[in-house]
Amino acid sequence: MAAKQQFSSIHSRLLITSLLPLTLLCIVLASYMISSQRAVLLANLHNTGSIAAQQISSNAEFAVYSNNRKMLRDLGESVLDIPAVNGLLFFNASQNTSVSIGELDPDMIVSPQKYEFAKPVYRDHNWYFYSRVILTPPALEDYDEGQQPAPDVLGWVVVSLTDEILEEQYREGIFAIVLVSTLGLLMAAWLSMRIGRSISHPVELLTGVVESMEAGSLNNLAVEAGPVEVRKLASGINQLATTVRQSNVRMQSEVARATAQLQITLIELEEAMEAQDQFLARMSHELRTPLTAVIGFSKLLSIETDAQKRDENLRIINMSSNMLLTMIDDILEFSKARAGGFALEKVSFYIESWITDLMSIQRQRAEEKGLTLSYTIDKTVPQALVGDPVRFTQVISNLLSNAIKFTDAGSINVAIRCLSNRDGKVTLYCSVADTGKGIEEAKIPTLFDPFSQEDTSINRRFGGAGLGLSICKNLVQVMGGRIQVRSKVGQGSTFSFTCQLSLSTAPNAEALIGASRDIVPAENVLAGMTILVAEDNAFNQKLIVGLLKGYGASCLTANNGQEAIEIASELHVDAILMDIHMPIVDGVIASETIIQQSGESPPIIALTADVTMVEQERIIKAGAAMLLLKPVNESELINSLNQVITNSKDSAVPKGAGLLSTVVPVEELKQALYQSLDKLDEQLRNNENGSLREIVHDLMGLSGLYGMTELREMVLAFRADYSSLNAEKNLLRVKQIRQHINDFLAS
Amino acid sequence: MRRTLSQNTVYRRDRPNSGWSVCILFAVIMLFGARVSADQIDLLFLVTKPTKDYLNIMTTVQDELNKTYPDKYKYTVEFVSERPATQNTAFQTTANADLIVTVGTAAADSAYGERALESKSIESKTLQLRALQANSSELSALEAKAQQNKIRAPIVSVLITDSAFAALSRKHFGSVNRAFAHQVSAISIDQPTSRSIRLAKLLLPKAKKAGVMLGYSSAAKQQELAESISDLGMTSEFVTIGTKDNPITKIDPVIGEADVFIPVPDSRLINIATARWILRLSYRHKVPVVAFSRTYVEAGALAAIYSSPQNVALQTVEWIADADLDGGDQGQAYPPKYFSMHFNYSVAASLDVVIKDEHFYRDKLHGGNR
Repeated sequence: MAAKQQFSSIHSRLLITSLLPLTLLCIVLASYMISSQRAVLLANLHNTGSIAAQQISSNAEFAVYSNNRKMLRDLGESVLDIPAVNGLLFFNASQNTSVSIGELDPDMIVSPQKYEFAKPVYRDHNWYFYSRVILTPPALEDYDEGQQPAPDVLGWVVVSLTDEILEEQYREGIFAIVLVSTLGLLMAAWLSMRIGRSISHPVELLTGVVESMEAGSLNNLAVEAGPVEVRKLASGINQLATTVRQSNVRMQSEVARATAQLQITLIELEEAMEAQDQFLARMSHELRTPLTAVIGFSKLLSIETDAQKRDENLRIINMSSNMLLTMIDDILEFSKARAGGFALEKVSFYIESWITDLMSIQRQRAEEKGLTLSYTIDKTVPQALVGDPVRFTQVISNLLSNAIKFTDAGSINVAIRCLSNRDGKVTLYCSVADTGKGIEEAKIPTLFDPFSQEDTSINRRFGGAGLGLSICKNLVQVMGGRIQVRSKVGQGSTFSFTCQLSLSTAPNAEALIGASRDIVPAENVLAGMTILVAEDNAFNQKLIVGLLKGYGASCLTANNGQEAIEIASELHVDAILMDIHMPIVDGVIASETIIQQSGESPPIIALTADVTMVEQERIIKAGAAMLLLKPVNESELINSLNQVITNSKDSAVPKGAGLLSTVVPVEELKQALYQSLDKLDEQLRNNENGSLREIVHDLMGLSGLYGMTELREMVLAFRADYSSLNAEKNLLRVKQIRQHINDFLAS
Repeated sequence: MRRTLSQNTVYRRDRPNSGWSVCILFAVIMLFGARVSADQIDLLFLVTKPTKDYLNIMTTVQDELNKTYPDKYKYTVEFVSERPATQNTAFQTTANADLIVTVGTAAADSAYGERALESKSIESKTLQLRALQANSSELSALEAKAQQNKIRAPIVSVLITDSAFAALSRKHFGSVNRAFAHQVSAISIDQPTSRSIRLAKLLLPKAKKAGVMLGYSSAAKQQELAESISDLGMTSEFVTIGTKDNPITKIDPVIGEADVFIPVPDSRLINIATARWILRLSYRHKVPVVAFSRTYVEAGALAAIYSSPQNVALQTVEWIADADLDGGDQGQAYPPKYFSMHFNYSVAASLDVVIKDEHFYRDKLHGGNR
C-alpha cells in the first residue's frame, strides 16, 4: 500500500516516465551496438584476412613459381605482424604444402580443392582465408594481336586468423558500451531526478498549502515557483485563499451582526414576554379584583337581611361587574385591533348629542373625585357628521376616563374644533386636558404601546389593563388621524387627536341617533312571545332564560344545535338566540339548517364570545339576523329581540322601520343588492355554479339584516329550486327578485 | 564486297554499322580530296583492327603519299576484324588492287591466305586441264592467266615481327622464300638487337657484362650478338629459353651475374613467358633491362628501342613509292629503317642511371636518318 502510494506520487511518476523509456532505449541501443560491434569486428577480421591473403598471394607469385621457400617464409613472416594473423600456409600447384608459417594445425586446414573461394572457413577459433596465387602474363609487345593467355594457378595461400583478439575486442567493446550506457543512464537519472524534483517540489508545496487550507489555515501562501503552470496554479490558490479568507471574515462579521441582532431580538422578546407576563399578572389581578368583590358581596347578599346593606352590596356587585366588563371590552377591542383592525361604520350622527351623553356618563365619576368636567365644541364643527360615532366617542371616553383616573384635583376639559372642512371632508381636532399629576417625558414615547403604563404602580393604584391608549391610537389611525400628548409633571397632561369625518346630508340625524340609544326596554315587552334559547352552558342558559322571562317571554331551551333545529322545525318560536359554539351541531350550521327549512323561519340572533371577523362573517352568511357579543348586555339583548321580532312581524307590510330604514342609505342597499343580483345573473348565464351559493347567502344576509322578509323568502325559494330548474327559469326568478327589490325600495 | 566511299578512297568493310568505323571513314574522307584520275593506282589497306596505332600508320601513309604523289593513289581500306566469322579467306579482296599493304599480323595472315589460295586454284586448274588434255587454246589461256598471276599486286606487310612473318610464310607458302616469290614483302618491327646493345652501353658505360636472353627463334643470333657485345668492350652471357623451361631458374643466374640484361624478341609465347620474370629478377638483382618495346619499358625495363607507328609508316611510304607494280621484283624482308627510344626514368632513378637527352643517344646510335 505504501509502495503503491509512493509510486502514485508525481515525483515517482515523473521519474518512471523519464527513466523507463530511457532505460529501454539504453538497453536497445546497447544491444544494437554490441551486436553491430561484433558484426563490425568480424567484418574487419574478414577484411583483414581477405586483404592479407590477397596481398600475400599477389606477392607470392614469384616465390611460389620459383618455389623459393625462403622468400615465402619471409613473406609469411611479414604478414604475421598483422594482429590476429597467427599463421600462413602456401600450397603449390599440386596442392602439396609448400611452406607453413606460424602456429597452424595442418589437419584443420581444408584442402584448396574442397574449398569454396570467397568464403573464409572457421574452425576451432580460427578463421582461414584462401587466395589463389595466379600468374598473369603481361602484354609486353607493342602491337600484340594475340589473345592473352589464361592465367595460371601457381598455388594457394591460406592465412589463418585467430578470433581471440576479436573476442577480446568484443569483450572490451561490451564493457565500454555497458559502462557508457550505465554512466549515461545514471546521468540521465540524476538529471531526471533534478528536473522531476523541480516540477514535483512546487506541486508538493502546493499540496501542503492546500492541505493546510483544508485544515483551516488560510494564512499560508503558496510559493509561486517552478514551471509556469505550477506558478499559475500557486497564484490561483493564493487568490482563492485570499477570497476564502475575505469571505470568512465577511461571513464572521455577518454572523456576529446577525447574532447581535438575534440577541437584541431575544432581549426584545424577553422584554415582550416579560411585559406580557406582567400584563397577564395585571389582568389576573384586575380580573380577580372585581370578581372577588362580586363573589364576596354575592355571598354577603345571600346572608344579608338588611335591605339597605343589600342594596349597597348589589351596587358594589354591579359596579365590580361593570369594571370587569369594561376590562374585558378593552381586551376584546385590543384583540380586534390586532386581528384586523376596526371596521368603522359610516352613519350620520349629531356630534354634540354624543358628546353630551358621554359627558353625562363620565360626569358622575368626575364629580365623585371633586373634579370639574367641561366640554367645548367650536362653532366651526358641523353639527351633523358621517362616521362611526361609537368609535369617535370611545376615544374621547378612554382619554376622559384616564384624565379622571389620574387627576386628583382641578378640572378636565374636552375641546373639539374643526381643522378643515373641504369637499365634504371634515378634519376634527379633539383634546382632553387635565390638571393631573402629569407624565414624565421619558415615559411619553411608550405611552401608546400595548400593556404599558407609566409605571407598574399605576396599575396598582388606578387599575386598568394598560390597553386604553393603545386602543385609542389604533382607533385614531383607522379614522385617519394622529394622537399625541403634551404633559408636564405636576401640571397636567393634554391628550389630543385628529380624525377624518364626512359632512352629513341627512336631515334628521339627531332624531335617528337619539331613538337608538339608551332605550331601557319596558317590562313585558316580550310578553306572548316564544323564544328558543340554544345554549350549551347551563348557567348562561338559565341566566338568559331568567332575563327573558323577566320581560314576559316564554322560553324554550336547546342544549346543542341539533336540538335547536329539531325544536325550530316542530314548534313555533318567534325568535332564536343561538350560541355559536355548541356540541354536536354548532350554531352556524344549525342557523343555516333552520333558515333553509321550508316555511317561515324565525329570526336568529347569534351570541358569541368569539370576536374574530371571520366568525362574524360566517354567522351572518349563515343567515343570522343579528350578532351579539357575550356577555350579553341586558337592554341591548331585549331591544334586539324586540327589534327582530317586530321586523319579522312587520315584514309582510314594510313600513320603513328597522335597520334598513334607520341606518343604511337606500341607494347603497340598492346598489349592494343589485351587485349581488348582477353576479347571480352572470353566473346563471355562464352556467357557472361556483359562487352561486355564496351570492344567495349574501342576498339572504342582506334581506335578513334589513328586515326584507319577502325578499328573503324569495331568495330561500330560489336556493331550494335553482338546481332543478333550467337557466331560463332561474333567470326569470332572478328578474322577479330584482323587480321585488325595486318595488320594495321605491315604497 | 567493295564499296567506294569517296572518289579516291574506298572503305571496305562488312559491318557498316560500326560507329568506330564511321569515325575513321569520316577522317579518311576529310584527309583526302575528291579527285579522280584514270591512272590512279588502286591501293588496298588491309588492316587487322581499327585501333589507334593501326589507323595512325594507315593515315600517315596516305597523308605522306598524298603530299608527295597527289592523285596517284586510290585508297581502299578493309579491316580484318570486321569480317564475318563465317567468311573464309577465299574472298576476292585483293583481286582488283594494284598494291596491298597489310597492317598487323592478322591482316598479313589474311592476305597471304588469299594469295596462296588463288595461286593454288590456278595451279590446280592447270593441272586438271593438262590431265584431261584440253585443247591448246584453253591451256594457253590458263597459262596466260598463270603468267598474269605472276604479275600480281605486291603485298607489303607492316607492323609484323620477324618471327610472325616467318611463321605466316611457312604457313601459307611453305617458306619465306616462296612468300617472296608471291610478291610478298615485309617490313619488320623488330629492331636489331645490336642497337639495343649499343644503347645499353651508352646508358651504362660502366657495364662489363651483358646478359642476353634468346628464344628458339632467335638462338641463331647468338654469335652475332656476342660479337656486337664484345665490340663494345663487354662480355656476354646468353640464356636460351624453351617453351618448357622454367624461366626463373634459367634467367636468374644470368641476370644475377650481368650488369645489363637484354631480351631478344622471339616468339610471342617466349616473350610473354619470360617478361614478368625478367623484370622481377631485374628488380631483385638491380640489373637494368634494355628491351625491345615501349610496353616493356612501361612494365619496368630501363629503356627500349622500338618501331613506332610513325617509323613504320614512313618506311612503308618509301617502299610504296619504290614498289614495282609490274611484278618484276620478288618480295623481300626489310629490317626496320627507323627507330624510336623510350626510357623509364623512375627505374633509372632507382638504379642510379643517368639518362641523357634522347638526341644524344640517337646520334650515337648512328641513327641520324631516324
